[in-house]
Amino acid sequence: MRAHMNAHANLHPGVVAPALPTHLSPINPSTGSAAHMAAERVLMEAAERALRAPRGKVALVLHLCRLKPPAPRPHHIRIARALMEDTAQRYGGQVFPLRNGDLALICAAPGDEAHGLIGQVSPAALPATFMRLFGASAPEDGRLTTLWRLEEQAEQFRAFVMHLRDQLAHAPPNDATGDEGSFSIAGLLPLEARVATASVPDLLAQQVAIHLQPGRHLPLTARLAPLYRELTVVRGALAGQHEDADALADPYLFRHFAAGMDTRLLGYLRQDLEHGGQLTRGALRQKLPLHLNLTLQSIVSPEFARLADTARRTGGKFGVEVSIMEAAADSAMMDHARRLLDTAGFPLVVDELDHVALTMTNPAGLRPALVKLTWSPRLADAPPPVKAAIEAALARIGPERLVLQHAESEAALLWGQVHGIMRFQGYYLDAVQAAARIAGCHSARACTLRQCITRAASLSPQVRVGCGNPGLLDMAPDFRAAETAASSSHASSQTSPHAPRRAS
Amino acid sequence: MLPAARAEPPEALVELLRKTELSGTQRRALLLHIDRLPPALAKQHHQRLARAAIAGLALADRAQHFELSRGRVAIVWRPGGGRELETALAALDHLLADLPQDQAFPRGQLVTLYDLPEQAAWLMDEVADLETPPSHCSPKATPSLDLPVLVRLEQALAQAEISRFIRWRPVLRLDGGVAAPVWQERYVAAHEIAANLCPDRSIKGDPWLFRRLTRSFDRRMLSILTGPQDLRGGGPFALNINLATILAQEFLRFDAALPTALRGAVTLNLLAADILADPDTFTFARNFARLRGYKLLLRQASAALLSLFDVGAAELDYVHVACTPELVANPARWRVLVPAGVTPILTGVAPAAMAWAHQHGFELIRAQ
Repeated sequence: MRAHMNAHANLHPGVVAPALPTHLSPINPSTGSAAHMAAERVLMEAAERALRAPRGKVALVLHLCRLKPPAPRPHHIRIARALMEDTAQRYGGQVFPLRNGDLALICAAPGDEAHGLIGQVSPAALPATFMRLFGASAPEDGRLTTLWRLEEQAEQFRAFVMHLRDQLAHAPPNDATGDEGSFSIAGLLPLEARVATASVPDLLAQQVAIHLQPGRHLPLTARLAPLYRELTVVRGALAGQHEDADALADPYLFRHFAAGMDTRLLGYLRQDLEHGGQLTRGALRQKLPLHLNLTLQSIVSPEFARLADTARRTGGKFGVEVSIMEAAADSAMMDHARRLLDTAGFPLVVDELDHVALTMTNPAGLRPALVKLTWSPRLADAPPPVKAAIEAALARIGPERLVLQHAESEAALLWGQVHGIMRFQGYYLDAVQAAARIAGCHSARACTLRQCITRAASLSPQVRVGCGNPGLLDMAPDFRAAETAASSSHASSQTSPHAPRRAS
Repeated sequence: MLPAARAEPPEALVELLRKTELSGTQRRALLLHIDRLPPALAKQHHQRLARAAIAGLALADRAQHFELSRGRVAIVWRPGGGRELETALAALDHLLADLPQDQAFPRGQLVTLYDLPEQAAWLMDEVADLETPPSHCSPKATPSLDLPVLVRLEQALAQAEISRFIRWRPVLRLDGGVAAPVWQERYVAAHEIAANLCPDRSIKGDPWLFRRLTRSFDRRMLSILTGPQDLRGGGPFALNINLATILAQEFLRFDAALPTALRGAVTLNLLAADILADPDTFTFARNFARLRGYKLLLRQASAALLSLFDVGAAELDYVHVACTPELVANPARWRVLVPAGVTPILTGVAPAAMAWAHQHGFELIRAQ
């Protein structure tokens, strides 16, 4: 795989384009203007040449744009392109990045498709190779690649290229090499200061999870009981005006900042608890546990012990969410943290289990009170063997312990309930709760549902300006779906200027 | 300017707060958080201006002035008819008004006001937080790696010649009474690099910044291996590596330089936390590594980790199992924790323990 080092300059006139003059060299990086030449035109020219002598040649398109989101990510493009360039080099061909993000290859195909050495992929073996590489991210029905044997399928391939030209004529050029925009961590230094000095509530968001308890007779009488209120550090707020959102997407750097935030949050909560402040009011009066996302380092810190002590004296209820990544990072410290949580009487919640981690871990061994599974459509559309693994993992944890988070669609709620999960957290439920708040609020005449959702999610006074009844924002409504059926039907529009009002 | 001679230490403030609480004496307190001044106002003369802004308060009735850590200042006085507070706050507003529009900074973050004795406890907490050193690092302990040092280290590592910090240790196959090397594990001696580049820091003190730093180690290691001499003639080996590195250009370059004889003879050693940081990326990196003939290994696996993380479901080839007293006491437990199809490598094996390892079915070991 040498080709990647100079991805564009990999032209092998010997096979594909025997008479190609160098000045036509389509995407040679040394000639700036050529680099901007329409990729499809270059492909067409190469296709025409190949089709003039189609014997033993193939064309292949890798439809990266058909991968399931969040793919294609930069590393998907980088690796796929490197593999294709490698095959192109071995089989005298060339790779063409198309404007829709796909990659095309025209090269020779050897008559005998005998298996080469490890890692040497023949063009005919590329479709199967890419299916294995992309695994569950690939579209199911073999739509990931298209392969044409030019000798037999010249017309089909020509039609494809024509279609491309028409379809993508006005799309921006595809310069994707899969290289991430590099950021300098030196640019993160102001963030360190921000973590140390910013007002704590300004960096926090809150969200209430609900426990869905179906009514005895009709689904509409289901009870939506608040389960806990979770405080999270908002990455965007932390990044502030700096362009550091990318850096905070780095899990290691984010955890470093999160650990710094924890110390401040724990101190702030302790004071808030002592003085009945805004953050812990619900944990005291409504007995709705306040969930904190903590690093292991902060759980074993004296700040945590002080908060636990204050909580014991005041009766404040807390839960602690630990990401599965932290739990796996240091078993000994996890064990220590587990014991401290037991002593404090704070339930442990295992957090950030996604659809892949679900089948690779057994969090039940940590004896958590709850396990938070992050919703992804890929839970629902997993192929049969993966589906079986998902179901086995759900059974190991037990549905009564599972919370489906980022449940932002009806599909999520449906999938959860089909699998016995009745605890949910997500924007969809925020909307339902906001509808319930508005229905019982005397100052909601001019409020939209979205305003009410946004204000309740924030702890920053600036965001809450305009709410005539801020006390209500921090009270989690406990209600039956039927009571607010009318209001929640507005949840989907999310801009209802005058939500229906009802006495609660 | 605040007359420095009259400034009192934090303990005196705590004492005063206790007294007001006990006697119910009415006071007001202002705490100036100098250390929160926004970056654009963080120069020394700004700090002086901020202090000067509240200096007038020292003239209020019964005013007392306290100097706290991080340059913070507290003033306690008896509330009355005076306008000293209004003047001070106006002066602070004036100072903050110098900031450009897009950097507006609310005055509320710079000063906190307390009504005593009701809010004495709030202020007491602030003082306690400020004056207690974070107890996880004792006074003698070396300070942790922090972001500014990491920035310097990453820059230094981009240039540094680190081949002398690369270490080898063999993984051996136990065959009868004989231990024969099967591959060499290559790793960067992080502590030695740290001792050279930042001797005053505990390099693993912040576990996440250390993990981030290891990506620089990865890159340097790969560029050395990709060099003209290093791979030719060498035998099978294993590398400690981050997933992000496997998907980076440096690895593609290394992969291209790998001699055919070594294809299929290189093992990549991963950490569970790295896998679980982005499991979707892990599966992609694993599939890619498989296509190119690499074997995958889980490092630092304790019994607790193996009951949490399923190496079989992750489709790894090998797992490091530390030779601990717990293992020696209950060797059967590992049969349950390491599924069929995954080969355990017993690590930290003392010469005397080799017979024990062989007897209990461990075929691969890494000696002490």
